[in-house]
Amino acid sequence: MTSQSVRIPFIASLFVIPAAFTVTILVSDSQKALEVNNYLFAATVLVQIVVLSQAFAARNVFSRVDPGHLTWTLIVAFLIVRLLVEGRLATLTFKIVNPPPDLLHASPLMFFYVVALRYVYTISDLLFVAALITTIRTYKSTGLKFELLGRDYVYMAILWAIPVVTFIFRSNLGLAGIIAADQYIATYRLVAVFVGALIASLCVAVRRYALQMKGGSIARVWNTVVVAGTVRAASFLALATLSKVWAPGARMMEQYLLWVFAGCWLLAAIYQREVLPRTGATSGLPRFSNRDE
Amino acid sequence: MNNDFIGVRGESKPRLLEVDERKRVIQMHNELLRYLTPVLGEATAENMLKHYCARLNIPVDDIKETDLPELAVSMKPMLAVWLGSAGASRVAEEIARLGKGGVS
Repeated sequence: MTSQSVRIPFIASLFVIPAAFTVTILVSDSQKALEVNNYLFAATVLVQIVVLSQAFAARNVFSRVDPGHLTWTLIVAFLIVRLLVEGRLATLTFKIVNPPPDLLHASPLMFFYVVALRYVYTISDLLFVAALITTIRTYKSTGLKFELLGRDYVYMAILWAIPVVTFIFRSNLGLAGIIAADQYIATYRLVAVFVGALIASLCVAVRRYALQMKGGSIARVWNTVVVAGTVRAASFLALATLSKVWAPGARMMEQYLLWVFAGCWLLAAIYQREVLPRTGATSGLPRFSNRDE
Repeated sequence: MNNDFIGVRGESKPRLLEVDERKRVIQMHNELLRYLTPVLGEATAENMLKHYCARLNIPVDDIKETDLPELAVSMKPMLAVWLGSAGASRVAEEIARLGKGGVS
């Protein structure tokens, strides 16, 4: 799998998916559009399985003593935990598990499955946070000049407005979701938005360091991860702000952004694997033979 | 007038050699940057080269073929941060061989 073979279909999907949603809503009803949304969710899960295999390959580029090994181990752990909890969501979305409408009267096991296990997403996000922190430390450990600028702190402050806005619109948080919303989901989403803001803030720092490299294939890896982290945070914001106005639209926007998130992770993992071969190819020197193909 | 052909008699040979040597030195610096930039980016490649040249007391605009092996070895730990140990070793080996007519 090469970045070139993934990039073009992925970019095409960014136009095809909104077009498919629009057409479905125009020619059918919003129920049909939500069905399309569920298919997109299934496709996103499948992409994440491929991402995991590529992340393992990216991790193998590093030996145990390299700082990159820890970063990619954390990324692999983040993806595994996320996939596990996506499996739970799939059973609820496709009605393999049917929770009762009122979770207060559900069995303790069902309550745990539906309500408590959603916080596993938060655990996976915290693993992503840890990966970003190790990346920042890696940049700093080089001793080269990688510094945040004043405007980065302004961007971070703006990003922390997202959880504030979400908190203000918290009454919207329980309105929409890929599965029927319950009264506990608003708390989870508020927590998720706070973790999302933390991820996005760290992404600002990584983005600055990547920019200071002035190009190169390593910067390309981290720029792509930054996009993934930002859209993940944006998906919660979309849900919080759009739910009241247009619930199906909010769900579609959330899923679309998660599709972008999965696609960016796929590209980032492939870019990491391709860091070295690209050197030889562009410098006119013979190619490095570090690929595991 | 082309500087390579200054002085045809007497002093011509030493000066011609000097110009050739100077060109080779500039070429070496550019070749190293050209080699590292696609991976590390323009700024990091330049900063890294400056950093290690300063550490080894090599004038950055006067890198000679004979400096390359030492430069490559000292760069390896930093390269490993981004490329992994195996990748860094490979790049270091290839940097060391850059002066010998490229990588074979």
